[in-house]
Amino acid sequence: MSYAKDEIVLKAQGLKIHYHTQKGYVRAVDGIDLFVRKGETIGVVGESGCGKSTFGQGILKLLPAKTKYEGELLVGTTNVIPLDEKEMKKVRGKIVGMIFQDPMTSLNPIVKVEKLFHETLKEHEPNISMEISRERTARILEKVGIEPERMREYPFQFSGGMRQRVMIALALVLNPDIVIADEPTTSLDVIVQAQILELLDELRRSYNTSVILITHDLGVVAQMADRIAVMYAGQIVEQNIKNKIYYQPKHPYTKLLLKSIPNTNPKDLQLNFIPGSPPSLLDVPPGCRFASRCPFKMTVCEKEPPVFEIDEGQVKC
Amino acid sequence: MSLLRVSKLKKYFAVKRSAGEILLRVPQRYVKAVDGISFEINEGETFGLVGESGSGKTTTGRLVLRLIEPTEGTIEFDGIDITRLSNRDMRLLRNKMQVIFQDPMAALNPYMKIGDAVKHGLEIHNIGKNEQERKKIVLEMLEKVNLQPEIYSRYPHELSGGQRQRVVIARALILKPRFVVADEALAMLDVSVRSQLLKLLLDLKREMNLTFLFITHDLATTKYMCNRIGVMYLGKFVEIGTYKHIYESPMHPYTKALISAIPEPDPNIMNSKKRFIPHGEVPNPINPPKGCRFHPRCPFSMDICTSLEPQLINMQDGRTIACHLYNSH
Repeated sequence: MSYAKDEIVLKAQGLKIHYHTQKGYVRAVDGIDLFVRKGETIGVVGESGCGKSTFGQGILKLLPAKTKYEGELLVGTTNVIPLDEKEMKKVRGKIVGMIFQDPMTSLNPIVKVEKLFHETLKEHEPNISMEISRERTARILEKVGIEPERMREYPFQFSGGMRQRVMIALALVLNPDIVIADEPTTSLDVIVQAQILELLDELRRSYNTSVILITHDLGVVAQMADRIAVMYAGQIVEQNIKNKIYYQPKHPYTKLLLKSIPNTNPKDLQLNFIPGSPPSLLDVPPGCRFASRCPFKMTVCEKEPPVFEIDEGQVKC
Repeated sequence: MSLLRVSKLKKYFAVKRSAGEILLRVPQRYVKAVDGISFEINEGETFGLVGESGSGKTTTGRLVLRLIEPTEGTIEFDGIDITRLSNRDMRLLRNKMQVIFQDPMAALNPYMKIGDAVKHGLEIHNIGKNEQERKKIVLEMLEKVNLQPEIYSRYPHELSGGQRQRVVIARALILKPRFVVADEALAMLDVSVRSQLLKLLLDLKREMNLTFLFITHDLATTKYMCNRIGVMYLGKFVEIGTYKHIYESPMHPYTKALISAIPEPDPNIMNSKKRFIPHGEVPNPINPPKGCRFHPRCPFSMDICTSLEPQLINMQDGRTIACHLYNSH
């Protein structure tokens, strides 16, 4: 697929993803509008349980069978919501690649690395020979800084950082348009994290891939993202270009969240936090979902807040 | 006055040999998790331990509580060398030394009500005349960590992550310890909750005059908690100083690397930051590099670094550092 410079590679409109539990449906993603341009990195940030990972996995429809999808999710020009499992397989890996948080649980530890790549390639090119897939594996492994000979080893023989490199290579081997990275460095030490983030950014530039970076770490998105979407209780409360989010946040949640990060400035010893906790997504209160914790709460907040367009961004308040 | 004085502490873990290796008389190998460290913590002070996984910081925390036995070295608590105490005498001291672990779900028995879990320590150490009085002490403690009294009869799975960690803190502090080891106590929490609990720990520290060994990989939190910070690499200290020393003017090349790798939640600082990311990964602690342990990854490595291990030396500004770059010879 080829795209014009500003072409949009992914677009969610009124996207809802509700997954099934014994207690009922969890409204993990509850009406999201978001688009991703070719070659850009968009950071999706939020705290545990805000629905950011469900969104990431939902793009590839990797969630359990009883999950309900609503709205529109365009990957390229195809709406993936009505697609069945067989059709989704063509999207996975080929158009959208995925990098998970924990490479030990997401890479089968007893399958050789070369076989992992061969299986992935075979999914989309059924007649590919082991020879050719080895060649392509070698090329991509070199790109992520792993000696190609190591493809004969098993994932458990790699260190955490190296496993994450294998994972990145596996996500990129089919040269997808979009890569979803769900907390790609959360289980890594800071120095290894810095190495992996640099690698990811370098590869994004050289392949002109779009990256959806899902993380709780506002430091990581400050380094990586072009635009940022802040999620709270299943919705995007604010999205904008990076500097606007950090220096001119509009939504009270974004403001308070930024203030509550412990900073490293030795002179600033003030500790801020947001009292209370987010609402349960099993039973969402009407109106603004942040209202119960918001210091600027008004009576109008009992109604569903509208979305305002500001500059390049949006705020729901 | 120092409450805890650790000197030349070592912990080597034996690496399991396979039956074949034993038959072939392959020599026993050891993971040198902690390899000769000395430090003191004064009464009321918080000493931070930072470093990457495998640097030995958690092992150090477990050693000073004698949850594991040291291979070598001494640990003096309030003037008593606890490495020589019998298990019975050690047990009598345990109420003065407590620990807060990272994962509250793993630290709490899922079948035990919160009240019972917090009360357990009182029963073991025979504090409180009867059941009623113990319950009163527990409720007071729960209030101190800002938990509602209803929590008393709840189970861990009914609480949020932040509430569970408050319970773990309450359980550690109910025996009125003098010394607490906090091992990544805030690592699993979301930012907004982490700041809440950091504030709680600071308040309790002041109120109860606690001395902390604060183990973390998150340098930003050490600013609020720690008087001094020790940076560990492969079982040894490379630099010990205040937050200002370590963060504003790190001297050891490893400390510099560690500081420069922290992602700052501010795009301008992030862009202007001088990045200094060493290549490769932490070497295997079974066979640490000769000389300075950081030399294979260090851009300033000199000939001497490959052969002679640098010792900790005191600098004029009050920090200590183990690096040949700052030795006069």
